[in-house]
Amino acid sequence: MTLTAADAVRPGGRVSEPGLAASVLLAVAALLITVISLCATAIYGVKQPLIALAFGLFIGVGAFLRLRLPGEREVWPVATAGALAYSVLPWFGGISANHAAYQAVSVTALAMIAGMLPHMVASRLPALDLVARQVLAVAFAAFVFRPSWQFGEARGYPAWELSLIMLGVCVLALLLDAAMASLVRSARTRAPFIRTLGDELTAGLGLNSAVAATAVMISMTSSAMSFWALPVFALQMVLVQVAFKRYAMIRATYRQTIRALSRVTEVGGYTETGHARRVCDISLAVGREMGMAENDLLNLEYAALMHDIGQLSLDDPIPGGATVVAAPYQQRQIADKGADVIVETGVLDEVARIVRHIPDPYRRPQEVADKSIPLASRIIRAVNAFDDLVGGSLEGSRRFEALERLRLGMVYDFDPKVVETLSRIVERNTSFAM
Amino acid sequence: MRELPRAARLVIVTVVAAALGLSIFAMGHVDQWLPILVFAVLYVLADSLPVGPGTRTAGLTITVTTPVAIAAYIVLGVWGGVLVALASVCDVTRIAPVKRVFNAGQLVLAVTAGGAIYLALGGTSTLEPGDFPQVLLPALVSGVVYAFINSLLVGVVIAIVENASSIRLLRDILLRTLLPGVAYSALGIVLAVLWTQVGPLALAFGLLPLFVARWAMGQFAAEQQAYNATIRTLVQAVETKDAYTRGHSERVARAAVLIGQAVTMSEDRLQALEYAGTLHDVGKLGVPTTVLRKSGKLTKDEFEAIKLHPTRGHDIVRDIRFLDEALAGIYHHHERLDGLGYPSGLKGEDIPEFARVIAVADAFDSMTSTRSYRSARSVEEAIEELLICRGTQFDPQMVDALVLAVSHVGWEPAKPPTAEELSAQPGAPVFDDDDPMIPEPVEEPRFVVGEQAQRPTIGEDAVTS
Repeated sequence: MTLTAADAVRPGGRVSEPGLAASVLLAVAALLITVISLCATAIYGVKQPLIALAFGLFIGVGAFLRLRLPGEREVWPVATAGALAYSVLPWFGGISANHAAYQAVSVTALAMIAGMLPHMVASRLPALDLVARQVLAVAFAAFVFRPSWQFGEARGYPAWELSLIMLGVCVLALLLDAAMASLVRSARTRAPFIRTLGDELTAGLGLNSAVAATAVMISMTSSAMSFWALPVFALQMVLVQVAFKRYAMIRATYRQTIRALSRVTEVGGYTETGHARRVCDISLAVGREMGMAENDLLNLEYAALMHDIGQLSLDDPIPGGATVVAAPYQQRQIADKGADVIVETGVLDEVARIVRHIPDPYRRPQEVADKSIPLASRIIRAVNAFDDLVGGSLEGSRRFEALERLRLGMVYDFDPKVVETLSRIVERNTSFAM
Repeated sequence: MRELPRAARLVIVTVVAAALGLSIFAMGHVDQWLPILVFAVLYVLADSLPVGPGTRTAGLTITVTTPVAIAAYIVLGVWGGVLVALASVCDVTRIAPVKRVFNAGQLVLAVTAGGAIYLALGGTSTLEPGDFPQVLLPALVSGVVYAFINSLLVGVVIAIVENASSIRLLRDILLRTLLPGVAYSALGIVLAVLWTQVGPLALAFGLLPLFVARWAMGQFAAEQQAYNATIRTLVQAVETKDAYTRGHSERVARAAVLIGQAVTMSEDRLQALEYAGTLHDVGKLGVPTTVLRKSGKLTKDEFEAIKLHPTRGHDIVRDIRFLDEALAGIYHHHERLDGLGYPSGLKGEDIPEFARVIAVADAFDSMTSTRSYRSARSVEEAIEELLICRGTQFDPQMVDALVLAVSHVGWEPAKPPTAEELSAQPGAPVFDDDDPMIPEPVEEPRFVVGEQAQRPTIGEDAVTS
């Protein structure tokens, strides 16, 4: 299972994972559809078994070639394209494809399980909801398209119109998949559904448009080329996948590097062990719950990890770091130095801006709240203070004392909304390690 | 055009003249202009869409127009294909008109050859279900021929202009002919089939995945540049603690890459080596500034603290999964070939290759930089010293590689810190553990600040054990 910040907040582990209910719901639905489809296929027999085998192979290989996109998104673009293509297949090598929707679902489910087997043997289990979503999305496409193809309604259209109908069905299926994915994510991270849906659509736009176009092309060209179209598109999709894999890898490396460099201050004894990572994980949980978009969350993550980096360029490091007990001018000094360092990179301007504003109080006496302070800065400011007061302690009482202190500072120092969200997260996890 | 060599001009003029002749002939032999026009417009559109930054340097080039050209001669015939290729002269993104005209010319010739082979081997333009698989052979062969003519003509002109050897030319042509030819003709034939079914929509369907792939490659390249900039500047920025070692990590990375190139490491490993060089002293960033800048002798404990830096550096970056080989380079960069280094006391070949490279680069930069207790050595002196320690402290192969590389491309040593920079920091270290020319400061403190005149001569103190 992928580790989200919400999970990381309690590394002590917890039996029921948040968002599990949504995953289980999807899994049950997918299982139900698969079992019914398998029974129907068993009763009515497999139509055109060679074609089923060819597409099964394609889907199976695709399920083996997994891809992890930034944002902990696991996808199977090759498998998805193959399964959708089989669901909307009109002809194959000049003859009409007469398999029913349940057969398409059966082939997809079986092939995906077969493709996963090597990974399961190596105990790399795919996320439960991933398999369920794929099966459900394919089932949608198959049950929409196949009946109207088998019983003649779709046959009357000219090829170009038919191809657009097929494209429409594939796009709808992929949108359904995105909606299900954001449902699970929203339940798991407690982020608003609308926000996760937006993130899901943005993140998947490029790859999914390639998947939909490829699915239609596989279907259309196999009408004339029969089996010969499949290897060509397998090749093409692998090319697309390689491109995305490289991108995902450099993104992951970037994150790991920032995370690693955040430890420099700890190794030197300037800050407490694990401080930056704790602030980062809790800040992310707060940011998610407050509905921040994924891009903003990434900046929040980097800023939280690097908020003490200014310590390193100070002549005299402040013992204990930029804690709440440090004098305001020292906090300001660390933030400014840190922001100067970050701005030097030339690509992290927003992160630098966030770090620079961390020492800003939410509002000053007699003034209204300063709107120019980024939300991310307000979050890190509160979480940083919280962690300074708690220091990774497992004691419940210390946490509530810390929260109480933040609440007292709410009038001026901290954003009340942030403190409220933070309290909710802390209270939810009372019996677990932070 | 004028500045091109005579031979190149000759090739260009011949190609363009032949293409012009073929095109004029083609115009007389087509009767259906509309599909040609649609194809041509889409071809030019596909060609002019911007390529992401660094897409070509990312190692995987995705040409979206080649499959379109192959599909063109399959469905439109040789003459239709020729006219589509001719239309590429309208490509607005290629600025130099000579390039544009020559490019269209060589495309016309490639399409003519490909299209003729396709027909000669029995290829058809109808592509009915009954035509498969027989039609695949002509398609693949013609695609390879197309790619061959294409890379031959472009390669010859570039080889003449850049004065490249004919072996390199041949290798480039072969690399760009076989595999790409097969791959692009496969994509070309499915585009052609789709065209016979859904018309112009085919190109929209067909090009979308290619564009998406190209977009992802562009994203990758942009992100990689951002990544490089980020680690370089972050490391540099926190290096500013000590005016004497400013820029050290970047220069070590540069010298390490020079060595890596000289011992012909692969592109991927060079990249990893660069990261290892940049991050090799990351553990030192955590050493208290007071110790790093201490003027005067270090206590045993303080020296131990400095000796810990490879381990600390390794602890910090070990979670960066992709660094992989670079990690060993960071951890072991203070090992010596004779086994007297730290932290593990490894000997000879047991020391990871990256660590052996970085050790040489590290010492080289340290010696050519100014230190508080001495001025910078010249590059020649530093090399002499490296040669003395060759085989005892350093891997001979890496020392030779650096000497060779520096003699070829030169070396720009660190600039001495300005008076302003020095006045900004209170202390100045008397010890640099990267410098092979001074002994460990705690065992036998033979000199301290102010006694530089009595320093032993070069070579004598090189054997630091």
